[in-house]
Amino acid sequence: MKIDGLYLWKALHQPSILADLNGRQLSDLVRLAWRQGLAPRLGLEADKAGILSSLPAQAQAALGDLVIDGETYRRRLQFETERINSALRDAGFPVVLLKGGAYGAAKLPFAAARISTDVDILVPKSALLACENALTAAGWVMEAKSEYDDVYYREWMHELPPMRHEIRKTVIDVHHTIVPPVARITPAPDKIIDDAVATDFDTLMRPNLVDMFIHCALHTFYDGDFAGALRAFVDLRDLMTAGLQDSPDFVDAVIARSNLHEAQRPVSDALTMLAQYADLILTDTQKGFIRQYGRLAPIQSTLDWAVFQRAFACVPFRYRDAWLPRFVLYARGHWITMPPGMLVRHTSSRIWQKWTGQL
Amino acid sequence: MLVKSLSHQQLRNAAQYASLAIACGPTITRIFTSIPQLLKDISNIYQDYDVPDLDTTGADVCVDMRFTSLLRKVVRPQVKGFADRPGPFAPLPPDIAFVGFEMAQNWFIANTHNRHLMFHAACVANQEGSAVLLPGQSGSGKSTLGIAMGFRSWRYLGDEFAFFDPNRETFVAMPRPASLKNASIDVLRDWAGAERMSRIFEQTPKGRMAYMRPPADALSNAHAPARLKAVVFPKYVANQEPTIRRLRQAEALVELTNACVNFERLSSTAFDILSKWAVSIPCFQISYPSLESACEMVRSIQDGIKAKLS
Repeated sequence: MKIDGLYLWKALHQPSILADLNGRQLSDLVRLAWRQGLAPRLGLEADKAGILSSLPAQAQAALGDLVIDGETYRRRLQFETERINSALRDAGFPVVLLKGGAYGAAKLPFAAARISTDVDILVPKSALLACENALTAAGWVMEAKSEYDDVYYREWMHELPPMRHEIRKTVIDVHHTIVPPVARITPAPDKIIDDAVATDFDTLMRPNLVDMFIHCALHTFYDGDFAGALRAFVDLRDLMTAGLQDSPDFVDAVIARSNLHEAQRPVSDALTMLAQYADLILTDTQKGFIRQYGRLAPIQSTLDWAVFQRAFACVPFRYRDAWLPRFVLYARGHWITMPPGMLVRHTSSRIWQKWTGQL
Repeated sequence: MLVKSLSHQQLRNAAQYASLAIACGPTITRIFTSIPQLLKDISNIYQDYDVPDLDTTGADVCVDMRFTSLLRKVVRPQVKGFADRPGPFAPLPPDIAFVGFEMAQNWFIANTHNRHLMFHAACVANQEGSAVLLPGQSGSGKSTLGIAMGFRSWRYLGDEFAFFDPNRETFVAMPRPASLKNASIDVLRDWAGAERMSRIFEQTPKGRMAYMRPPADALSNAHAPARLKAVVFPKYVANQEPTIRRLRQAEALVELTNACVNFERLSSTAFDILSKWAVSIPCFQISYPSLESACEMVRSIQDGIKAKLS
C-alpha cells in the first residue's frame, strides 16, 4: 500500500480504510498528514469513525493525541474570533469572516479540527482605516517590515499588512477584496458583504456557502504555487459536501455566482478536480460550462499533471518537492496575478533592496 | 530485542529507511537518519532500550536527523533535526548530532503528547511507589537531581518530562538517558561512576553535555505505578546553606501551571487536576548547594508526609 497524498485524501473521506494499515503505514500517514497540515483532521475522522481502538497501540495513541490537538485548534479559533468580535463591536461597518474563521462561525463539521494560523476578515475598502484603528486600539500591531512593504500591501495587495496581537501573538489579515487588485479578474467583494450571513458573534458575519466555495476555489486555483494544495482540496470537498447538503442546486448556484466574481475559470478548475477525485456528479450543462473555460489541450494537461503532482503525489519521507510541477505552477501563478510590467517592477525593487541591504 | 543486540550494520539499514524504532515509556520513537556518528551514539546511549517491531506497534514520535544540504554533507558538514514539521532546530556539526536528536525528540513530544498531563520536570519514586515531581526550567538542576536520586534509593522516572495519567491517577515513567550539562557531568561521575556515562559532547548550544544511562531498575520497573506525594521545585545554588520553603496554595497552582507543558491543550482537565493538587499535595521550593543536601531534603519531606499520614 503506497502511503501518499492520494491515500490521505481517501482516508479523510473514508476513514475505515485505516483499518487496512499496519503500524508503520499508520505512522507514515500521520507524518504525511502533519506535513500537509491535515493531522488533527485525520485524528478527528478516525475518532468519528470509531476505529481507533482497533488500530496498533502506538498509532492509536498518536491519533488520539491528534483528536485533542484538533479540539485545541477549535478552541483557539473560537477564542480569537470572540476577541475580534469585541474589538470591532460598534465599529459602524460590516465585518465578514473569511476562510477558517468563517468555517468555524458557520459551524461546519470539518472546521472542528482545522489548523488555522491566522484569522482573515473582509471589510469594505472605505472602512480599512477605521478597521486598522479599531484593531490597533485593541492590541494588534501592524507587522510591515519596511516602508516598501507597507506601500506594497496598501497599494497593490488585497489586504493590509498582517497585524499581530502584542500579547497573544495571533495574526489577523484584514482584506478589502479577495484577490490582489492588480490581478486580471475583479471579483465583487461588496456582494460577498451584502449577501453575508449572520453568526453567533454579534458583529461578525460570514459569506454564504456559495461565496465561501468560490473564495476557496480562487484561493486554490488562482494564485501561488499550490503549496498546501491537498489541504485546499480538502476544504473544497468539505465545502461542496456542506453546500450540497444545504441545497441540491449548489453547483448551479456556484456556477451562476462565478460570473459575478469573474471566477469562472477557478470555479471550473475546482469542479473538474472534484469530479475527478471526489466523485462529484455533474450535469451536461455543468460540463458545458467547464468546457467553455477549458484551456488548450497541451496546456490543460500540463497543468493537470502539475496539480496532481503537487497535491496528491506527496510522500512522508521526501523533503524537497519535485521542482518541475512546482515551477510550472509558480510561473502560472505569477503570470495571472501580476501584469508583466508590474512583475518586473516588483522583482527589481526586491533585488535592489536585497542588494542595498534594506531587506 | 534490545538496541545493543543489533549490529551496527542492522542499525544503519533500519535507520536509513526510517525503520528504526526505540521504545521508552509511553512513547515509541521512529528514527530516520544516515549520520554514522549519530547511530554510533544511539547504539551506545540507548543500548538498554527495547526495539519494537514497527509494523505491529506503530510509532508516535518521528525524528529525522539529516545533513542540511548535499554540499554540507561534504564541505564543513552540518546536520539538522526535522520532526514531521520543521521545528526550531539549530544546525549542528555531525559530531554532536545526538544532542540535536534528543532536542528534536523533546520538541516533538512537548508539542504532540496529549494522552497524559505532561510536566517539564524530573520525577522519582520511592520503593512504596510514592512519587516526587521535580519541575524546573533548564538550568535549575532538575535533570542532575533526578538521575542522581535514581542512583540512590529512588526509582528514576525521567529527567525531562513527567507524564500523569488522568484515568489511573499515576505517573508514567519515560526513563530516557539523563542529559547533563557542564559542571554536573563531573558531579554525576563522582556520584555514580563513569560506567553509564556517555562520551562528552563539546560546544553544543547548551555548552558541554553528556548523557547518563539510567540505572537498570528504572527500565525494568518502568511500569510500576507511582502516586504523587509531593512536588519539589529544586534550584541549585552554589556555596549557600540549603533552604526549604513550603509554597502557599495559590503559588503552588501558578508554579504547577507554568511547569505543565500541555496545559492549554488539555484545558479544563489540566486545570481541574492542578487545582486539586494545589490544595492536596504539599509543594516545596528547595535551594541546594550539593546533591547530598538535596536528597536529604527530599527524604525529610517524604518522611514528614509519611509521619503525618500514620
